[in-house]
Amino acid sequence: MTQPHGHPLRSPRSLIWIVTLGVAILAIIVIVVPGRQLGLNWTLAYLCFAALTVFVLRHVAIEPGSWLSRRTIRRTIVALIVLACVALLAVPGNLLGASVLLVLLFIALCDVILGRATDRVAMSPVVGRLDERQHALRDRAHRIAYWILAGLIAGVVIPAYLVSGGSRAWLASTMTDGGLLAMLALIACLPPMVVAWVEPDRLPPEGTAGTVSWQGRMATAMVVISLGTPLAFATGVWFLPIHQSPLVRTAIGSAATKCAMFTRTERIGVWFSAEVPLSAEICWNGTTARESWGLNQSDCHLAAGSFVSFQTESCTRRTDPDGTLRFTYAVIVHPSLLPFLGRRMEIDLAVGPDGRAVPFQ
Amino acid sequence: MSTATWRLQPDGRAPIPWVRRGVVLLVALGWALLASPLPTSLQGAGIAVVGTMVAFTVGLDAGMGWLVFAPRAKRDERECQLRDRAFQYAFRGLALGILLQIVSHYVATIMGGASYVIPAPFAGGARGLVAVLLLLALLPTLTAAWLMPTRVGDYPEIPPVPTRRSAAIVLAGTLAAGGVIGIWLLAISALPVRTVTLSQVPAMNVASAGARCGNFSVYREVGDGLGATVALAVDVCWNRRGAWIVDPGFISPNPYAIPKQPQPTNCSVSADSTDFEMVATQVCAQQGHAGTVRMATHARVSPGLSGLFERTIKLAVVIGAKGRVIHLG
Repeated sequence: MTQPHGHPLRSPRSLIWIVTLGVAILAIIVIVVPGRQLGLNWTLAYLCFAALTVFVLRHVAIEPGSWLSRRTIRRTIVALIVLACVALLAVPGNLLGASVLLVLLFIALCDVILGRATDRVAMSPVVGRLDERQHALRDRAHRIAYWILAGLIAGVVIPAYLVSGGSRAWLASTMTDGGLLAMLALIACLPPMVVAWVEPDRLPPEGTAGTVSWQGRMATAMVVISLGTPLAFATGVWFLPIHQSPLVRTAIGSAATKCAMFTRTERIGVWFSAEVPLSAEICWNGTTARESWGLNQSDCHLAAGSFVSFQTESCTRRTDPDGTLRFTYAVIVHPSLLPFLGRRMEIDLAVGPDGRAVPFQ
Repeated sequence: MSTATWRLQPDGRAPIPWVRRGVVLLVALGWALLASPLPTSLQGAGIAVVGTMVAFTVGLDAGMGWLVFAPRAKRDERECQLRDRAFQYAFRGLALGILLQIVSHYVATIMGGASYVIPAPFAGGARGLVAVLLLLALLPTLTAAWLMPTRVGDYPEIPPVPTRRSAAIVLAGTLAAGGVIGIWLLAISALPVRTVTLSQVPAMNVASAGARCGNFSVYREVGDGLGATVALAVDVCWNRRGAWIVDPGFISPNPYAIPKQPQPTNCSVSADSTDFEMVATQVCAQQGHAGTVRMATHARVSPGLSGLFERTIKLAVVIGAKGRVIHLG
């Protein structure tokens, strides 16, 4: 590969100042911006950091021997794009929105990084700055990308269309949901992915130590952070502890009515986060407790969160022979970036015939 | 290097560029017809369009000495370069084609007044799918044919096309088109007809005072969706006096207008066509004894070859007086 392209700043100090300013803005966003429960501050901070990473990448040359010039790293980024496309396929249609935008942003970031790591050979104009070898590489990458795309369409779309009415309905719903976006993302990213996959390691010239400048190291660190952060937060849904708020019992009306409102919330995750609420009014008469409102099937769709999807697992209400009212609402939470990871969240309530909350069995 | 008709000559020149580019434009026109949402039906001519496109494109590839699909070992360096460059343009063309298809379907659907749009390429009918598959299969050849070097003004020096080679090109194109049409005819005539039935009670969007209503529909698909689809969809309401079809064209929707005696059969005949096949349909509705209603479709589906490969499709919905489904299929 020829000397990598970049747009070096006049002075490395400029880069330091810009990065410092960017990090300061990030800190302010995380601390000041409201909407932490919705993950808005984290999203804004991530957007800023991603933009800063792209900026730094554009102004730092990818030197031979540096981290991004290694094939293993490039292939890892290719795998991340594939993973994100699978995530797009898995996002249910009713959740298209913020989750999808985040996944698309992640794919775009990976694409920019790959482009930088490969000198944007794949997406360069037809006539331009490339030498003969790069021209050949670009054209070959497009040929391979073409066959990969043809194979995907022939292997997935044609059988799905022809096999049965059910498979065709799956195809239609997938293409209405995230499938179309996944296909467009693949079309946009496939040639750079192929170049990144086939290009060998860019080694420093023989006899040189292959030292990497501090700017290069910083760019590498920022790439790792910008790609790793959403993955780490998404994984958090899987392993972080579930926080359950204490059950709050608020008496309603006079003592004669014997009713109370019970509220409790379960939360999990940071940024990729979920919240399962329970809020119900229950009345009792000494022999039995009964639901006034808040413990019905329609109340089992109230789970909310940011960059996660929910699948209701159970929603049951029963009255024991001793008059105790029991309610269970369980959901499986899937982070949108890693939809194949799931975490069960269950919130329950048991109220005795005397109106007191009893431990759930 | 061999002397294939349109293969690169030693000086990098290939003859008759205007013929190649003309054929490319013709095939592009055919693709636009398939991919466009308008006209809404190709009047059964879809397979003829597909066959023509395949014939021309395979003829082009044959003329170029199978430049696009031949093994790399059989090509020299310039031809490999040309092929890779053709794939580069083809990839970008594929992206553009799919985008165009999506945008045109969105625009057409919104202009048509629909509020819900199904993305075009794969979720619509066979026409959109076929358009994408053709794009995938034909684009590399078309771009290679377009990109092949030309030298304007040198036509007098170009040796005439050898007759035998021209015959080979025509033969290759004809065989390819014949193969595609043959497989399609086999599919629509031999594959079992697929039936889908749907019934929904209470009905969506249909109501009648003092009565219950339901939506009942049957779909039969010829050639696994590559041929025609014949559908019978009927809304039926019923009360203690009997059932009736909610369609003024056949039987009065007014329950109090149901006669004591069964009505004579009321039929309508129509000739319709889908993108790939022609359909002649006779639909009959009949008020039976004891408040039963029956609606039946008798359709002849044919590729328009004077009765050859014609299939007969019969659909019927029979609903009892109290809304019981007696027959659906």
